[in-house]
Amino acid sequence: MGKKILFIQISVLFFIFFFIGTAFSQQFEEWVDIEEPSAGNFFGVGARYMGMGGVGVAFANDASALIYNPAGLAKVKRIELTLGMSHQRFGNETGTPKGVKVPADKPYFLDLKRIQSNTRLGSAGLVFPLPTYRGSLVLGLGVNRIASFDNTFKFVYALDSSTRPDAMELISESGGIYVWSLGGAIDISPTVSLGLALNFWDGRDNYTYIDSLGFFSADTFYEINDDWEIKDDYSGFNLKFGALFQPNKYFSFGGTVASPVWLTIDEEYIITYDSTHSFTDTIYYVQYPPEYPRWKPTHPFSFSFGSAFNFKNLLLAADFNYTDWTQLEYREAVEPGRKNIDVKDYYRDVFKWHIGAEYLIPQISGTVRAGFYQDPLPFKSNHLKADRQYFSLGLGFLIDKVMTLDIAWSHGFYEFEYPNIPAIEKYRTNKIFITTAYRL
Amino acid sequence: MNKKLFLVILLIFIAGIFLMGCYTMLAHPGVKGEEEQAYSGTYYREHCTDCHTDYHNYPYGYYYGFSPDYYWNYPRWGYYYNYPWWWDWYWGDYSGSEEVPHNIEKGERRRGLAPPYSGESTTPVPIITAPSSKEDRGVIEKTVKEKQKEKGTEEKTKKEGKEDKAPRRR
Repeated sequence: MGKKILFIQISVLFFIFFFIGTAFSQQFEEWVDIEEPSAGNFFGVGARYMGMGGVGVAFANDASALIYNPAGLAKVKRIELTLGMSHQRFGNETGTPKGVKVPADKPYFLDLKRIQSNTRLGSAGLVFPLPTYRGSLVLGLGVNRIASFDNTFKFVYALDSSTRPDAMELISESGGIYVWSLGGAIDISPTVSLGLALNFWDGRDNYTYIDSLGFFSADTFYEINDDWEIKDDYSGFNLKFGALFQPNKYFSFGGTVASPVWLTIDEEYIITYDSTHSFTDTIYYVQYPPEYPRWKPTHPFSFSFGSAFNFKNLLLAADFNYTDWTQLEYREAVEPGRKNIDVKDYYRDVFKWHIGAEYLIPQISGTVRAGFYQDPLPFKSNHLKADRQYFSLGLGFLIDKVMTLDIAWSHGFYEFEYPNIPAIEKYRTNKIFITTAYRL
Repeated sequence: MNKKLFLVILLIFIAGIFLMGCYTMLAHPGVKGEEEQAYSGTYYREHCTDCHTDYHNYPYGYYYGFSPDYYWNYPRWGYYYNYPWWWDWYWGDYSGSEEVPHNIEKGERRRGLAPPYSGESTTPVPIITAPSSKEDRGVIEKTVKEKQKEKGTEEKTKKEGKEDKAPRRR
């Protein structure tokens, strides 16, 4: 009988915990419950282009053109082998806003910083121009890490700022999506090139969520933990058309249309709960059987336009991209009808823009680069204090006429503020890209 | 959109580009009066400069498309970005006795994009910089041809019955 009463008490406490957990789960906002991590997720490809703020639609002329604008492959005249790596330091900061007095009935969030570092193989590619008597016909093959799931989040709060922490939530996520591309480009006139890339998406997302709640009740301390392990295997396919127009040696213009991405996500998730209390040191442990749902989201069409101006040693470029994420659609899901309604409610259309510059310094046989871009989140939020934006710098060197080495650093951030909780949520990323290419 | 319908539209689009005829050429177009030679075992038309004498003066693709100024001003960059990998195979600067390009000639040609290119040619070729307009190009072509004529080294535009042992172009 005693054990039965104890079990009921634990269950009630668990329910209370779960209710609180839902209100504050996963980065504080409701939209996270319906988030598709691959939506609006572009990590960056090619150190030259990332050093210039992610521009490339109007002037990409190497293996990275498979991603930025397949028509740019037509500008490649030599056989090229390329390899790239990336390193990211992802930082998360949570806490109570400075100068805000926390009401007595609200939790007090401790100032916390958490950093996660990941080094990855970023890209590899081969470009083969076919010999022509006139014009250009070029084939390209490449693999690029186009999306990153590497991130972390943590908060700790106390119901009273003078007592020990009562609850903690931790998220650690890692993985990414690689796109295997097969593409080609052809000159259809002296000034116009067309290109096409077939993209095969392949990736994995490992997501770990840990919740912990501790509290006293009638001189008994209770601690309840739950642990979610979710593994997603991504696979998919899409096409990208590109066109490039260069009317003279000063200007070039490019445009791309990316078809919908037909994704399949095979998921495995395991949920574990355990609880203890100090009176009997009893541990209750429940692990639910693994579930294996399948999701089939389809990303919408995406449109890009770019322009570049080349004068003497200076290159200036700008890109614009539009994607209507309200057209994200689940062909298959757990409750697909409800998921698609949530997409219409919580997602938005996004307009991204990039600007960048490159300057050749012949004395060092190198180039210096700088850029900036905005990459708005695909979700609506009333608490977004600063949307995603990135600054970048880069260097490039030409070695012995046959090899290039490009290095880029990109710094980005975005922030949320929740006056009603009150809490802040900040993200900082620092990315380093290194790409080398050898032309036969 | 239905995935299959999308792929069908794509295939029709790609086929249309090639069926309409394309600016890009993978084979030399036939020349009237030379049809028999074109299909002979050894196609004599492997030396581009036998007919296209101005290739001595301009880099590959000069007439087709545009390059940034620094490709010309700093030939190392022009070589990396604009010098086709197959260009050395089709150079027609042979005296007729060699079977393959001489190493020195090849090394000479790998100087980048700075003209002139015919290192051992007996035709004196003026050193020029990139003309900025089609009119300027026309003036320079005329100047080069007049100089060639004056020196009595105007090349024949057609050679008949010559067996050639130079590397064959695809």
